Amino acid sequence: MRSRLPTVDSLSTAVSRLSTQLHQLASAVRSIAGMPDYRAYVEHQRHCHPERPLLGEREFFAEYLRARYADGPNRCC
Amino acid sequence: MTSLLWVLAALAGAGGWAVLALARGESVSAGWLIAAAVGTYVIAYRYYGRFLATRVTGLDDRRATPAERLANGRDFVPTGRWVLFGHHFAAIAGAGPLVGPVLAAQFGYLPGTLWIVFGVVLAGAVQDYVILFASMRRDGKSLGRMARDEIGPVTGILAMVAILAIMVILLAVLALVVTRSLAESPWGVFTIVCTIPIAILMGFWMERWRPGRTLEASAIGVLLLIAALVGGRWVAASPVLAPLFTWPAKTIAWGIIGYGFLASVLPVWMLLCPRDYLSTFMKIGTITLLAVGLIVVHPPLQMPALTRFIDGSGPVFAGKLFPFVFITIACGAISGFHALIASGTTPKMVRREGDARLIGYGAMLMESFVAVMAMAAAAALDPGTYFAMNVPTAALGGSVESAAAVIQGWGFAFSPADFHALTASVGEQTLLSRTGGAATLAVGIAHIFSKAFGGGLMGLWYHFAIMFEALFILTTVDAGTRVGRFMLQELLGHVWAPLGRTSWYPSSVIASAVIVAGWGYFLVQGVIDPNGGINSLWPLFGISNQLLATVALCVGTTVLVKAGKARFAWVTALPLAWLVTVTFTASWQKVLSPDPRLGFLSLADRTLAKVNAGEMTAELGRQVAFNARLDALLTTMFVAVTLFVVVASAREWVLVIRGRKPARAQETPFVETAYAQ
Repeated sequence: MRSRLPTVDSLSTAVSRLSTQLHQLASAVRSIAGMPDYRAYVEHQRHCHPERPLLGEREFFAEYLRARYADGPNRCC
Repeated sequence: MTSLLWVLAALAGAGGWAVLALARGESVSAGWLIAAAVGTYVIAYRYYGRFLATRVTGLDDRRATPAERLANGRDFVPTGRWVLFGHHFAAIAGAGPLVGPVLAAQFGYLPGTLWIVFGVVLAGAVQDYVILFASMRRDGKSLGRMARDEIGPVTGILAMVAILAIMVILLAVLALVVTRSLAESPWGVFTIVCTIPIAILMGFWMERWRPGRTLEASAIGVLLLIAALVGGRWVAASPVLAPLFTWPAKTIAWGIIGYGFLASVLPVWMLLCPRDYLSTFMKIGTITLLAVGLIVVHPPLQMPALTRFIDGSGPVFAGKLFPFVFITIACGAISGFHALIASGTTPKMVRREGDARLIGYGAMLMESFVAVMAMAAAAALDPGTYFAMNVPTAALGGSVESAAAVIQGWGFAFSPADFHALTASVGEQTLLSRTGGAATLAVGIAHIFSKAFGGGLMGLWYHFAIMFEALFILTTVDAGTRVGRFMLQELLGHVWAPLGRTSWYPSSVIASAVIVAGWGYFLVQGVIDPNGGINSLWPLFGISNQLLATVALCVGTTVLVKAGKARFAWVTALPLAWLVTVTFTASWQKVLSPDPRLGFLSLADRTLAKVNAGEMTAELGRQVAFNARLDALLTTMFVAVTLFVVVASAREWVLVIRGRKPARAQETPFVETAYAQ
């Protein structure tokens, strides 16, 4: 008789799906506040410019922050 | 099923307007105001928004957007439409749509509401959408660049100088709004002072300890902020601590000036950016709460639909209904500043062209809704309270009793005992003559929130609202100072190259100091102004913001004409004509009116006459007169710049329409999208 209990595999899929969903939600909230997503950047660089050196997470945010207020008004009245 | 929803929306809108129109004498529920507004937005979005998207601009989902073609994972990032809607809304909605309607409520709730709702549908949202569209078709170019490329190089430079000058006025008036709401308020001052160490803690968290963990840091920040809010009550009640945080307006103004300078020269991660996040989350959260609260409580509107002050005798600000309701309410109906955002970060993030309608047109409808809520909150107060809080000391005298005589003289009921009770219930020493609208809105919000959510916590909700307003106004001031600094450095770089290097420390310090001195000057003058400052600065801000919208609509019309869409150019040309009429009339009156309450020049003459007659000290009198003339000069310069842009644009339209110049827009060529259709 097959067990009705969830297998370890299906559990770990569920957990990883939940974690992806949570990550997407967090990423959406961050984008609303105007913060880019480091994972999206890494994916983009791997996919489109694999030859270029990848910025570390800290440098990525530092570079982004430097540009954020240098680029014309980003907040309104 | 969907068509049923559209019909329902149309009925709600029509019902709302019908109730507002037919109500005579009896008070109307704020619910009808909201129904009328939302119904109108839905119909406008469905029909006019679609007309703009498909017929006028021809959005094409097969065309790759800059976010797709130039994707770099940083600023060019294809972003989902609802997330980008939130991002764009958070960027455009600030204190403007909250403060303007409160001030315009002196005319009654109806004129302001009509302008907010129909202005946004036919003008404001059209401007935001068309500029977003134009920038999206030009790799995310800024308004200034588009003005240069489409109209001419002189227009481009004039637009940049105008943007800088308008920012200085904007920052001054916003800082003045905060100053007025925090003066002599230990609870408010304590809470706002606490935001500085909270932001620094968040900054270190995100930069040093856990890079990129924005949400963690923001959650901690919000919790600490609430702790500071609750602690503020205890500070205000303490005989030892309260005097330490009881600051007169002048001290607060200088504090904001020093703080703005620091925030501009310190690294952004330390102070500016964390406050920016904190204020974004607070803003979205509070606006959502306000919408829920208003719908739950739907208070009766106690302000009449129209007041006697439409004749120009209004004590909050001078000037007749036309043109001043259209100047006082800029943000919420049409705001030129949005054109800078719609040609800034947002166009670089649009994933598909078709999303631009929701983001450009839709987010502006949402801002208009914020303005309607502010109007409802202000109009739900009894008119006596409203005028006691918004009329400057010069007209009310310094005491509640003297104010009562004045307000009752205007024909509004006012009970000094009730006003004292209200003041005590929100934990303040005084609410009299808190001009600038922020405190009035906070009382309105506190009424609604304490009825909807928290039984009787008036004081806490009042200071929550003050904190929410002050927090994001100060964030605008910091961010604006920094942006102004970069713009100035760019301009100065043309004069002497090293000044243009934004990483060169002396250049940054000098440019920051110049910008801070610019808005700081107007702020301090506003504080010492016996008429409350808002009286002259807010119209100046409204005029400059609307003139910027005029420039944006010129660019929009030129883009349409050059794209061979001259037959549809009326969508931007009609609002343009209206704005030119309104702003030029208002500027004319503000500069030249013989009434010293209204005209800057006659105010200067009258003040000097008072000095000669010995009714005013020479020092104060000369300063007031000098400022009035400076305001007149600025207004004239704004008008001259705008007139130049309008004429230069009209010349281009005529040339293109007559066939003397090819109808060629500077769009980036078509590239097919790689996304699945």
